[in-house]
Amino acid sequence: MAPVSLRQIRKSYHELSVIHGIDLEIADGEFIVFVGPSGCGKSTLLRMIAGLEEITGGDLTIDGVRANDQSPVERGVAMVFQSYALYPHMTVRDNMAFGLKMAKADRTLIAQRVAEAARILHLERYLDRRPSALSGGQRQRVAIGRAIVRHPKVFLFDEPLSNLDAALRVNTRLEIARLHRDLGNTMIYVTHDQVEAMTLADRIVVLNGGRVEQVGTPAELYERPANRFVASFIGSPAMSFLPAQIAALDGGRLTLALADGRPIPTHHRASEATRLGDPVTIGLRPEHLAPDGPGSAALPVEIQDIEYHGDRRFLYASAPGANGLTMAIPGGRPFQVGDRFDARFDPTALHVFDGAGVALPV
Amino acid sequence: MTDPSHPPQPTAAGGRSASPGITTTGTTTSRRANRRTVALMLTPALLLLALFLVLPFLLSIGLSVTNYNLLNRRAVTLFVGLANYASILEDERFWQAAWNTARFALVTVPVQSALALLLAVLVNSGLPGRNLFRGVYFLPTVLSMAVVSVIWAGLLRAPQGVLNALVGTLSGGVLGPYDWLGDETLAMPTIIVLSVWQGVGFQMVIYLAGLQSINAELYEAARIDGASRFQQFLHITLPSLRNTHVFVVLATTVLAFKLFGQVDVLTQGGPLDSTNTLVRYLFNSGFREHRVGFASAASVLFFLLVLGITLVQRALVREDREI
Repeated sequence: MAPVSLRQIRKSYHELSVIHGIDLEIADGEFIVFVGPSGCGKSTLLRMIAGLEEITGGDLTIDGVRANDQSPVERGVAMVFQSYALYPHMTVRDNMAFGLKMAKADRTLIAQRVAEAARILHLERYLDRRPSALSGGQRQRVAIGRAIVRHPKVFLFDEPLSNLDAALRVNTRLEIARLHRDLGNTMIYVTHDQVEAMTLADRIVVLNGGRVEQVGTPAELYERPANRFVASFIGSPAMSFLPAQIAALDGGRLTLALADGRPIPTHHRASEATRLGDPVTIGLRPEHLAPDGPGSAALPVEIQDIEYHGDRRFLYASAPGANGLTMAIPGGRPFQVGDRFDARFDPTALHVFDGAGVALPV
Repeated sequence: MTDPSHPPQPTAAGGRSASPGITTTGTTTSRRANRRTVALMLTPALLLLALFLVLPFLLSIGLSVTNYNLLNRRAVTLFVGLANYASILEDERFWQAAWNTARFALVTVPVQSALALLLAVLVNSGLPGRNLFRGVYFLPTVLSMAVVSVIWAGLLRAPQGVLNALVGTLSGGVLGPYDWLGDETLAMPTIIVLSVWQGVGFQMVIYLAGLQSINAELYEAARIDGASRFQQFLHITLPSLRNTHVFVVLATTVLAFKLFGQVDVLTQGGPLDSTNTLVRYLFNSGFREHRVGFASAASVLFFLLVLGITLVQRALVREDREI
C-alpha cells in the first residue's frame, strides 16, 4: 500500500513528445482509472509508473521514494497485462510463484501465498494446468493472481478486460472491485471503456493527447465535466450538443439563443472572456431531454432512429442546427421514425461550453 | 470430422424449412469440386517426389540384393540375397566411417545449435549493426561447400598457411606449425570447425524466426516479476523455443550425417580413414568402385540408421503443440 505522486511527468521518443507534463497525486489505497481514446498516452503513462518505459522528465514518487530510476521490483509494483502475458510453458502454480521465486523467497512462503491467491480467485482446481488449458476468464484470474502473490504496493492494470466477452467482462469487473475492497491496495487501471472507468474508479483521470483533461470522481466527471471532450467521453449514450449564441447577460446569468432564435435562460455565468453574441455549445444528457418532460424549455425535434433496450428506449433525433440528439425514455408511448414534437428539458440541467470547449461556470 | 471449408449441415428445424434437398446437393457438389482441386494441386509435387525420391529409393532397395556392377555390364546381374549387407557389416572401413560420422554428429549438433542460438540472440538484440551481422553470419551458408572447402584449404595449408601463421604469431612461435588436415588427430576437429562455421547461419536464421515469434509481453511480465536478463533467457526464451529446438536438432543431425563435400575435397577421407564418412563410403563404393549393388545396400543401411536416430530424437523431445 502506498501513495503515488506524479510531478510534471513527461515522455518523448527522440523529438516526438507523447506525455506533456502530468501532475497527479494518488492517495494510499485509492482506485484510479486512466481513461481516454486510443493513443491518448494512458498505457504509456502506466508503463512509466511500472518501470517498463523510461521517464523522460519529471518525478515519480511511490511511497515517498523517488522511483524514476528504480526497477519494477524495487518500485514494488505488479502489473496485469491486456494479453494476460502468462508464461505458456508453466503451470498456473508456477506462473503465480515466478515472481517470488525470482526474489528467492522461502518455499513455504511461496506455497502459502499461491494458495492464498488461488483461494481468493477460485483457482484451486486449476493450479496444475497450463494456461492453454484455461478459458479467457480463468487466464485473466491467473494474471491477477500472479500480481497478488507478490503483495505489491501498487497494482497496475493495463486494459485487463479487453480480451474478454461481454458477460465475463462484467463478472471480472465486479471481481476486481471486490479485490480492491478486500486488499485495499493502491490500484491504477487503464481502460478506453468509460463504463469500466465509471464503475471501478474512486477517481478518474481523463487523458487526451498526452494531457490530463480532468481528474475527479465519476459523479464529478458526469455531472460537471470541465470541457466538451470530457462531456462527450463520459456517459453512454454520449451527451448531445446543440449550437447556440449568447443572447443576454442578465445580472451575470446567461440567456442563450438556439439556432432558430428561441431564447433559453440558464444558470450559467459568463466567464471573463464571454461576450454578447459569442457562439457556445449546449450539452444535454440523454436523460435530461424528454418528449413530455417537466422541463420549462422546449426544442422542436424529429425522430431519426429508435433503439430498443428493454427497460428503456433511446430516441435519436434532429433539431434546428443539430443532429444526433439522444433521448433516453422509459417504455410507454410508442414513437415512430419521422415523428415531430417539442422535446422538453430543464434549463438548469444543461451544460454550456464556450467557443474553446471549456465549460462555463454555474 | 467436420470439413472446415464448409459450413456445418443445417440442423433440424432451421435446415428443414430452407429446402434441405438443395443444400445437401450443393454441399456434395462443392465437396467433390474441392477434392478435385486438392488432387490437381498436389499432383505435380507428388509426381516429382515419386520420380526422384520414392522410385530411386525403391530401386536401390531392389539393387541392394543384387551384384549389379556399373563397369561389368556384360556380366549377368544376379540376386545375391543379403550378401551385400553381410559384407558391409563385416567391413572395418564401414564401421570406421560410421564411427567418424557419429563422432562428427555428436560434436556438431550440440555445438552448432548452441552457437546458432547465441548468434540469433545477439543479432535479435538492439545492438548496433545487427543487420550487418545477420548477413555476415548467414553468408557462408549460401556459399557452395566446394568453394568453402577450397578457401579453407588455403587457410589451413601446412606449414605456411594463414592459420599456422596466426597460431605462430599469437603463441610467440611456441605452437605450430600444424598439419591441420594431414594429422590423424587434427583432421576431424578441423573438419568440424569448418562445418560449424559454414552451417551455423542456417540454424541461426531458424532460431531468429523462433525468437521473433515470442510474445514481447512475456519479457515485460518477467521484468515486473524481477527476472534478470539471464533469468529471462532461462525461463522465457529457452522454453518458448522448444519447437524450434526440436526442429534445429533434427535438421542439424540429418545434415551432420550427410557429411561429404568438405571431406571429399579437403582430406579424401584420410589420413588413414580418420575422416571417412558414411556418405563418402557409399559414394566411393558406387561411383568409384562401381559396385552399385553394394552401395545400394549401404545406402539402405544409412537410411535406416538416420531414420532410427530421428525417431529416437522425436520420442525423446516431443514438439509441444499446446502452446
